[in-house]
Amino acid sequence: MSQATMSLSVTPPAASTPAATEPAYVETVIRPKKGWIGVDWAELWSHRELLVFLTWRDVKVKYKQAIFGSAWAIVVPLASVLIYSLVGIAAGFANRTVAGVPYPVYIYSALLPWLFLQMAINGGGMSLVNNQALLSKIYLPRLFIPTSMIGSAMVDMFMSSLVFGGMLAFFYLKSGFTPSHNIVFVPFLVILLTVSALGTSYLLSALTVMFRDLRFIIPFITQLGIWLTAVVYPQTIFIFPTSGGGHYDARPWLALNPYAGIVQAFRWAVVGEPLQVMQLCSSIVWAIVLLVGGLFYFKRVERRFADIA
Amino acid sequence: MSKAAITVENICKAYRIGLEKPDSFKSIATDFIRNPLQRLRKFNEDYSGDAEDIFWALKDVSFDVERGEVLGLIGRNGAGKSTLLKVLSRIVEPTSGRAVMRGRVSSLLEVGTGFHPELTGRENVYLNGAILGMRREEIKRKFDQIVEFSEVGKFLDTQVKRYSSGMYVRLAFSVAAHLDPEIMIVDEVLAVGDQAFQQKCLGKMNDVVRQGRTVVFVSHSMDAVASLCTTVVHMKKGRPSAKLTMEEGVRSYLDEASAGDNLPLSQKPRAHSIGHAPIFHDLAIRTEAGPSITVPVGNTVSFDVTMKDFDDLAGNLTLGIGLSNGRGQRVALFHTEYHQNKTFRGAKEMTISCDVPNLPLTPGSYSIDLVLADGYQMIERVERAAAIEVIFNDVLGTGKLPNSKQSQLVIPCAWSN
Repeated sequence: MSQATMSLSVTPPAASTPAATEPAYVETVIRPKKGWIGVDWAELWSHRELLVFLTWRDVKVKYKQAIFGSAWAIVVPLASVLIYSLVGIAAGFANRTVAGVPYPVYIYSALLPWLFLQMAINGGGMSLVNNQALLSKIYLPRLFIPTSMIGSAMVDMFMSSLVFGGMLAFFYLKSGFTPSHNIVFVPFLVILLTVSALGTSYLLSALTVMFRDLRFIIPFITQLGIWLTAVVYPQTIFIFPTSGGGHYDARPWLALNPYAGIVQAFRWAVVGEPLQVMQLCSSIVWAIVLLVGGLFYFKRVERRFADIA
Repeated sequence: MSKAAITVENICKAYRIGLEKPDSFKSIATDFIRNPLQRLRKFNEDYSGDAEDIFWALKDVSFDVERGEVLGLIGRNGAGKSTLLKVLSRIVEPTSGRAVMRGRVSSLLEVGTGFHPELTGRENVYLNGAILGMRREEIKRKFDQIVEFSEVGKFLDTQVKRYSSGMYVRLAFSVAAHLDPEIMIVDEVLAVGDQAFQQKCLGKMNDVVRQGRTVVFVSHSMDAVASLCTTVVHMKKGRPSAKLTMEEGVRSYLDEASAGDNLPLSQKPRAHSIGHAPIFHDLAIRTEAGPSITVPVGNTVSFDVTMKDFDDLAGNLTLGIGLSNGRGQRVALFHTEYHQNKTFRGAKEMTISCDVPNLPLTPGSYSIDLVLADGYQMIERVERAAAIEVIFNDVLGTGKLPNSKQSQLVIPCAWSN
């Protein structure tokens, strides 16, 4: 809302109190803001501990009640992989992947980033409306609320990558499978994924405060998304045979999906599936647009959060 | 000359009635079709003009708060006190105007903001501390003090959802009480916990005040205002009064509270009723000098209570006349049964008089409550049926009297050595 500006002007000592210098108080100016509002990076930095606390809270609360606690961060992706693998093998998708790659590895390499995105969209989108007291009873950098959800999603992703590591080791011992060399690009992809998730959660969380309809739309987005992002089957099923005996490749259309390129690139990095360059470029553009647009929209409507929430 | 700790200049806050709530896509679509221009105006948040659908929660609020000053914001519900605190806490943005806060600000509009029921007491202390703006180091350093103050040490590793509500607020307040701000903004949060803990909270607030911190404090409890605040701003319908002394402020608040009471007694709201038609009809106040509501200390005052249309009540009725001081504390009760073992039966019309000789109250205004009961069953109660103003009178012969802050009663005594 309002920007805190450090006041560096030290008031000259008054004549009556010779040695006393007025301490330099931090000066906060409160006034209405017009138009687009920039992000106060200095404020975010000075409150960084709060972000850590909020993330820690989200992680802690999520697993606190569960009997198996954080084991769920491992069990859920593992069970999903099992189910999708069985379905995929039964449906014959498993034959249309990369030769020599165990199908569970193929599935998991895309499910890992997708589960992260799903949490960013669901959790991040609902983060503001779920924390109304933090909006209406106190001032804090509100950007931290969706950001902390992404933080806790990253903790989850880290846990499930350990499981993935275990799975890779298992298949290495069993059939000598080794991941593609492209795996060195994973850190870059994680950054891209994070940027995209942050942008999405800023945009959706602010929109959810302004338009409550989104509460119902968001879960639908992720349900549909898992299919439109080709997470649990290979993108090759979007190549349709035509009546003339040729085929129509619908995959370029996936570039319209902000996340398809990133998820596919994870497959490229881990199992060596050919990279869909256009989709990846599109995802990069999307990530930047989402982040910048999300931040702008968030800052623009932020000053009305407390009035509405 | 040092600058004021808080400068508030022409702060206004407008709400467009019906707008400041979440939109649904449907309402946007229908609004836009019905009235595109208005929709545009809404988006631009144009509050110009005096359109009917604009509500000014705050209108031209200006004042300064000096460093070390403890300012009480008082007013009835909806007068804009809390909105003003939210503006000063940066939670809501003013529509126009400007405020400058010079110093680190802590605002406490609720105890336990961000407390999570699933987390333990220990975890919540850290979380809440961080939310209130403390650094981790600072929380660590003060942790033992916080726990000691809260008296929940034994349950520190229990989830707070298992706490009693008293434990919950004690822990929450303790965190807040250990903030170390230069400016503190507090909304009515002292009224937490049991009597003993409330005393402790007030004591803690007094410490804060004594350390020369600047405090803005909202309360409905004139008692708390009177004991903490040095100055008072009385908000009425979004507009502030000039800065008043504590005494003036409390007086002004009570005047406003009874301002709606220029109704005849028979029409005043009943604080309690069994559904019977209004019985209390008139209350006349007489002093030695004739009908008057100003009573010199030590003079006789008489109350004539007229009741009507209660001949259907056949029981042993009693009447009580209560006097409450400016802080809302009851200081005296005059009762037909307690004082004279006198009960009466209902009648078509009846006037009962009560003479109080040598009224020993310190100067100030006192409101009068009337209670009609049948044994232990209350039949009708009217609060602030009228008020009297006790004025200075040299009953002690010294030309001095204790004031209402020092003593509630003026009781003669003899000193010797």
